[in-house]
Amino acid sequence: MNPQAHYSIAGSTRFRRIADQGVIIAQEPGEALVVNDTGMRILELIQDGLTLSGVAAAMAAEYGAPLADVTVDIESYLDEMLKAGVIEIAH
Amino acid sequence: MRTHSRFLVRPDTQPARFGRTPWGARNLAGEMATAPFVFSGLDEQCIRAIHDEFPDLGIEEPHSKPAAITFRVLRAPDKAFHSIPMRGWEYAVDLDYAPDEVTVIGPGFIAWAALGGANIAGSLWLSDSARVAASGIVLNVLRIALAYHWVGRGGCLLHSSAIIDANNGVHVFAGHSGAGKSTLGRSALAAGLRPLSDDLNLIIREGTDWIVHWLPFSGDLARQGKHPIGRGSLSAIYLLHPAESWNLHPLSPAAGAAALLACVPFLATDTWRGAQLLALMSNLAADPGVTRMEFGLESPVWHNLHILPR
Repeated sequence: MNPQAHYSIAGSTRFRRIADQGVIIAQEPGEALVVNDTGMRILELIQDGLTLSGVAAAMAAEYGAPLADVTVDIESYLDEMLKAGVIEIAH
Repeated sequence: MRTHSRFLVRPDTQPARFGRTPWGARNLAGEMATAPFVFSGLDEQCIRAIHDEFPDLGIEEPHSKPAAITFRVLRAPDKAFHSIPMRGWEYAVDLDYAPDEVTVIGPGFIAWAALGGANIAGSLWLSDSARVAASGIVLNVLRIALAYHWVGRGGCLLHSSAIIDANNGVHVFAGHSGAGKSTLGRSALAAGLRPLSDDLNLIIREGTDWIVHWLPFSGDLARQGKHPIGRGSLSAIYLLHPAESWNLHPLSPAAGAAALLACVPFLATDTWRGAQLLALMSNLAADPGVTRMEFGLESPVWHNLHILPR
């Protein structure tokens, strides 16, 4: 993945933080997904317009984890969200 | 307007071009869970078919209150639709969503409704080939309109079986087709309990309470005339999960909301109502919460849940 890539929340996606988890409605496939607090935070940072590297830096700082490890995990998560239609690559 | 419905011959069909000829000269008016409705332009055969199945549903005279849901039933040409055998065929409609309107397309019919005002107003175009199924189409359109009426008012339809306990509390058992809703409804009757619908129930917020409303037009029990007219306070929500053995698993609020979303008919893929629906499901999943109920055919559900008849 390009570390400077911008992502955006897909137009049909709705998500909401509920207690320490989140629910995402990916409405094109018509699915509701449950994600943990970390997954919700990544989506919130995407919504704020951060690039992949920006999201990774923010998460590493917030969770006190090594940047390289965080980046790998975020790439994997964003790939899943792309496949589920929750996010898109911004142009 | 949807451009790829499998039911239409021409993807660019505009139903307004079908004209404004009423299907018939009869009206069906009534009140559904406090929402007055009127369908004008029905024919005698359709009215009789609806009343044969649901004698309490609607009257001929317009309701005294302004209708929350109003549809004109108009004629559509057969040639607009692909030829599909109608009698006895279970079908799923195509829904096309927009910010202030929704279009429903099925075999031999198109319904369009404006959602932008305080009330829902629309037209239902029926073709002659849909005649044998007209009553079912009218009821389907009414169900969908009711879902839209309530989602903006903090309420939702839920695929569920609902059972009233001795204290008039309502226990809602949500699940997909085949999850065991009707089986539970019959089991409740056999145990002396009062079921509401065993297929579709309306849950609305009234003050600080969630109220479950009986809907007269759905479920096997309604068709057998074994339903009570009623409503009651929501006591608990269970997610049905057929299994070998009995077990209860309280779901986290997020998992509960996601599970309930999957049981909401018509609106689950409507982008424009998604945020409202998500907020509603989140509130339900937080209080009273959702518990996954694993059960088998022999499970003593009512004993295990301490749900007793009056």
